[in-house]
Amino acid sequence: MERSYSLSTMEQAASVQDPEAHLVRASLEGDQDAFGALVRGQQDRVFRMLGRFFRRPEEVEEVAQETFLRAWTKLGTYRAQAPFEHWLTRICLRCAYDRLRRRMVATEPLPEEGTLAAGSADPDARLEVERLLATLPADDRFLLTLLEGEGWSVAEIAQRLGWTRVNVKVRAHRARRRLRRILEEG
Amino acid sequence: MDCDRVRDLLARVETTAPLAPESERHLAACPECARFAARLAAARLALRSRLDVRPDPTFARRVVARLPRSAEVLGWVAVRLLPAATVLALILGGIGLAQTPPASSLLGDDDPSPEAILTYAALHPGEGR
Repeated sequence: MERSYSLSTMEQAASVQDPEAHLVRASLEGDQDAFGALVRGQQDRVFRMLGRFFRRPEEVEEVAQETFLRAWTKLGTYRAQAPFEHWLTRICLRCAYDRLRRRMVATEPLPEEGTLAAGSADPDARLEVERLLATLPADDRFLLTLLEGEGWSVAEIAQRLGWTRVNVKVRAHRARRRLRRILEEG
Repeated sequence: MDCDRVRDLLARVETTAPLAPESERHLAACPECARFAARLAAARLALRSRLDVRPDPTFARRVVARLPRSAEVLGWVAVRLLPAATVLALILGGIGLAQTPPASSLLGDDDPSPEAILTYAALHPGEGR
């Protein structure tokens, strides 16, 4: 059974030039091998992004799988005007956000020494601050990670998550206020 | 400069420029604010940190093994069912509307007609004065 999926002439031309567009099209037609190639092309980036939010490798792997499974079922909503990786980033962030929200707070065990790509020189200070950050609500941790970790602006976060700028600004303001409070009181 | 103002300046995530000399002097003289500044710096470092984990070579294969039999089946079913679901909703809505009794029948006959008022007044001349 083939899904009736028609590409405009311009999209067909782009598909020839862009192997990723070709893989997306083949995936839409049910070609799982093509989707596997898409996964291989994006998996490093997805793991890198999820490594910002989660402190256990198994959890990164689980959310990465969830990201690609969700991408597969939603592939019909992808519009080729934007790069595929932008579309996938939104799904990846949504999966991370949903997972963090299910936990309510970012209470994760600390990683083994040496597994963090960046960290404080003082292990005691790092432990202390990780303990404090773990008390932040998941929403706040998520947003602060995008602002601080990824270095995204309010506009970039709004665009990548599909939220309004006002929404992001309000959430960011609350998150910073709560961060300040826990650092003062902790 | 008070503690609240200094901490507010410090906590602004966008702030990358060095603090004003006045704020620096405050930090040097206030151990509580200095402690806050150190914690904030450590928190930012933690937020910038990333678990350095990479997909193993079988990851893509394992994802593909978990895919629903075919995304196109789901898409096809959803697309085909959408018009039918819309028609069904319209039919059910129409039936619901047709079976809704008029508002007047629900309100009852609490407002007597002018004729009934006149008849009542004629039969009970002493009332209402």
